[in-house]
Amino acid sequence: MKGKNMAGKQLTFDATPEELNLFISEGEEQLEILNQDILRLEQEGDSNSELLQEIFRAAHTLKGSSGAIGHQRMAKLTHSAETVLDHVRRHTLAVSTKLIDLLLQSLDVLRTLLDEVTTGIESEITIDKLCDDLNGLVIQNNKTEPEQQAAAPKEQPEKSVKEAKLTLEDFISGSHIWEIDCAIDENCLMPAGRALQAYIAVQQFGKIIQSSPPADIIEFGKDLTVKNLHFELDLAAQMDGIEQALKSVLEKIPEIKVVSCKTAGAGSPANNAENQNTVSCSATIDATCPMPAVRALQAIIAAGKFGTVVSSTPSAEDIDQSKVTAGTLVQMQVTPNMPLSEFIDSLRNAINHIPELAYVESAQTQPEHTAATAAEGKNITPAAEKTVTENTVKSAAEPKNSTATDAETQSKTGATASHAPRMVRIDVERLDALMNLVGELVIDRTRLARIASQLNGHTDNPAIVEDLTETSRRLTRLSDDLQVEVMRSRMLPIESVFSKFPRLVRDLAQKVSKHIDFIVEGKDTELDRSVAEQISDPIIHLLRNSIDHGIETEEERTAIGKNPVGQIRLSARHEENQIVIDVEDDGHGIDSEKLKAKALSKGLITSETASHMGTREALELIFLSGFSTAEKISDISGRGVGMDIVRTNIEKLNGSVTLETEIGQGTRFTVRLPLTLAIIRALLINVGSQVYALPLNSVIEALRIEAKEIRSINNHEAIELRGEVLPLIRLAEFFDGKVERNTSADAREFIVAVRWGNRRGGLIVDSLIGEQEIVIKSLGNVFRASNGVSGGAVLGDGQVAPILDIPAIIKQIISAERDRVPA
Amino acid sequence: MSQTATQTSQQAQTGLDDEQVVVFDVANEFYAVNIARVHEIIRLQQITVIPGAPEFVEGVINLRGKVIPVLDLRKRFHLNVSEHTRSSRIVVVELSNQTIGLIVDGVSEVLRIPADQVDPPSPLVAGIDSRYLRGIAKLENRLIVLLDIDKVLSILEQQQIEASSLN
Repeated sequence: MKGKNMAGKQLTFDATPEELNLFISEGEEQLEILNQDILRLEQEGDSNSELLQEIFRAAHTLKGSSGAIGHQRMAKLTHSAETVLDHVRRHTLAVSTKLIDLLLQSLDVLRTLLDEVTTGIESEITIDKLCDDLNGLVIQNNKTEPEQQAAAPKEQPEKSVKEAKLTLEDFISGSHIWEIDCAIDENCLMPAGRALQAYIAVQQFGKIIQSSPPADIIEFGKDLTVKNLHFELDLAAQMDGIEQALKSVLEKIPEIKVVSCKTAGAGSPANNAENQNTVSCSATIDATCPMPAVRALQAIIAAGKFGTVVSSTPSAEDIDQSKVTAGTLVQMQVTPNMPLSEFIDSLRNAINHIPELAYVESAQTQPEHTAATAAEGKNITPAAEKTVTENTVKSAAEPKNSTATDAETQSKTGATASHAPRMVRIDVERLDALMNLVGELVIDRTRLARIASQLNGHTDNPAIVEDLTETSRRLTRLSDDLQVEVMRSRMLPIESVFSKFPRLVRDLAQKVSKHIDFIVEGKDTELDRSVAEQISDPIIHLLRNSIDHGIETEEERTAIGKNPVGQIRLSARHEENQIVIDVEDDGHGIDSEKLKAKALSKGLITSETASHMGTREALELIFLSGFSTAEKISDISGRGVGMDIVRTNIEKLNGSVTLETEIGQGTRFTVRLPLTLAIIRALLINVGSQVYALPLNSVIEALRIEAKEIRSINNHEAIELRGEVLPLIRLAEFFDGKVERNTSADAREFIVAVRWGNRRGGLIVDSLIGEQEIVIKSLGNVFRASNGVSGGAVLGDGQVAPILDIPAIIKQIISAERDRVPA
Repeated sequence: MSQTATQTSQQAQTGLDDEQVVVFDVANEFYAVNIARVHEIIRLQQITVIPGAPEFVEGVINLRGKVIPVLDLRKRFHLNVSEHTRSSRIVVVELSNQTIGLIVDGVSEVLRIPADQVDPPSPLVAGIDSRYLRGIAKLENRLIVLLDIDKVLSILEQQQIEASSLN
């Protein structure tokens, strides 16, 4: 296996592209569940058996599916992790920080390994050390085991036995031993790999009691020179045609040849089971299921948990050869190991929990019936579907076997099936293209509305104009709906961004030895994919900041009578057309005087400026580049670039970030972002001969005032707006520097009050045009240096209007204000 | 003009390394851009001024939903600026990473220029910054300046970065 660790190696998997896609998305899901649950495990300990089961199940599913597609390294690592989890589940291994750390590390590695499936290229990551560490946990815990192993080297190593047990432990029916001998081709370059494949293949059928070479040699990919493999298999379930199945599975592995495959004695397979009462139960596989074989197997495994699976249709062989079609009915004959009603409930529950499977029917059957079905199974032809159809028909034609419960179940299943969301995967690029088209449509419908209004009164056929207006109105409504739908299809719950934060907070908190209670709220809040992609980094910065600078050390907190466990709350909600994200800590808050002193010592401001600074302005200093209040630079939160970058990045998205703080109580950062980045509502205004667009989310209000209301405060224009002073800037002067004021006494001015974060300012414009939806277009590099313009908008008449960069303009107002303040 | 056309077609038959170019005039001089780089030629339309843009950048136009910057070549070459006329056109050219429009006084023709008639640029010719030139084609009755269209903007960007770092 040495050669496998070469970087950049192309990987091929034993699955179709659809299966791989399914594997990837399910894998991500399982990893996500594991990530969250392992963090919960750390907090709650091993007392919550439901949680333990869930973790174990997720790990197990992951192992099974990675094995199925032939991702050996992934299967191996999940196997090690699963072994550890099994011990935890059985309370033979205590939850420790080391254990959690190792499990979390494993998840990171697994994510990389999962990415390999996407890229098809093998990463440089190695798993051996991690596997050893994980195994070490178990071995350390159970010191006697290695000795045993040493004493009896021929015996199956502990972990493999365990493995077999836990996979199929409840699923085993009687002892029925098969001996299998295989030969690896002489010219095989990777005998260890083939041996592992064979091992895994055989393992699917039951517990491997003994193998030669021993399992650990096979599993850990030690240099394997032996060309002959010998397995003793304790069959998991008695199925007819097992020999065939075993052979065909093994022969499918390249360079492996089955020498012999025979039963090592014990009774005939069907005997024990047939004498017991068997229950026939079925599950339907959803018609859209891309991997029906896997689902069928899952159904059988589920049934095996509550009893002994005597036979199944499709047979194990068919399942193995993927001769299962979506929409198939999986029928099983099971001998329950619990009371019947309990069995039915458990099985229904278990099967309905598996995606794309729906429980159908459970009927106690006569032994003869079982025999008949079993016999049928024996003759299974490649046309398995036919058999399935027959079975389906049969079960449908036997209403007398159905009980009232079944009828209920059936109707219930029908309901669940219709409620199951029907999903289609869409390439993100396609959605983007769709969004662009909607953008163009919005431009044209605005143009159409304009034409209609221009025609109005300029034609001698008003009926046509009316018709046009009506049509344009309908188009407006339709395109609005279309836009909403397209936007919605691009929306993601913010959970997709938030879900990685608990882990991040945990790791960072551990690094600085602080105890932090991390609360996440509003995970369901939806936002546009393009926004979601961009907000992760700013939020990480804010969280880091809170952990590193915000929350005090445990001693400090205890000393001032605070709860030694710090609290960080991350929440998201919708507010009008914005998404608002708060990052709040209950730390020591930010001292504005300290900020001033710091900025002063760093030469970022002059003492003169500092003396005039209000609290609010001083707090803004934190967003200056080159500013860091941490006494020492830590590797967690940056070197004074963090907050600066946070603000820049958020403003790039037309958003804002503000902070509120109270000394000793904590700090809250509030990030506001538009729901989408492509289309915004804007207020159009005129300056000179040109139209400009103002993003509506930064507009507070538009007013018309008399020129004489404008006061000059320290040589700077301002008005009083509801008790607050609103500094003004003349846009015409801002852009062209020209002064051409109407000085007549009764002159009126249009003012648009805008805000950026906590700052407000008024823009004096020539006239107001109105509100419009605009599609934001980038202006490109040529205008990089243009101050005050953030982009271009295509208007309804096809003209381009510059979009005003409100933050830049307000900064300009602030700095102008500051300059003019007399010393 | 008809003379030129005949002459060109004759050359087309003989030359192997011909280059096909779009010829346009700016302040009574002829300039040419390789035809492969010319996306389209459109009439002058209303240009939106972007405040704070470099002086030779006239503004932006909406080219079927795409917003592209438009440069006035007269200003770019520091030539006398005159009013745009009815024959003024915008030559839309593709640069490596973006599309830009160039305002010219008029587009005259598409020519085939044989490689052996192209001389390296000389600073003395045409009186414009030789950094934008790729060469000068000497046809019988006139000189055509071959523009290095990528440099027209890249030098611009360089200057801009310098300018913004000064601020």
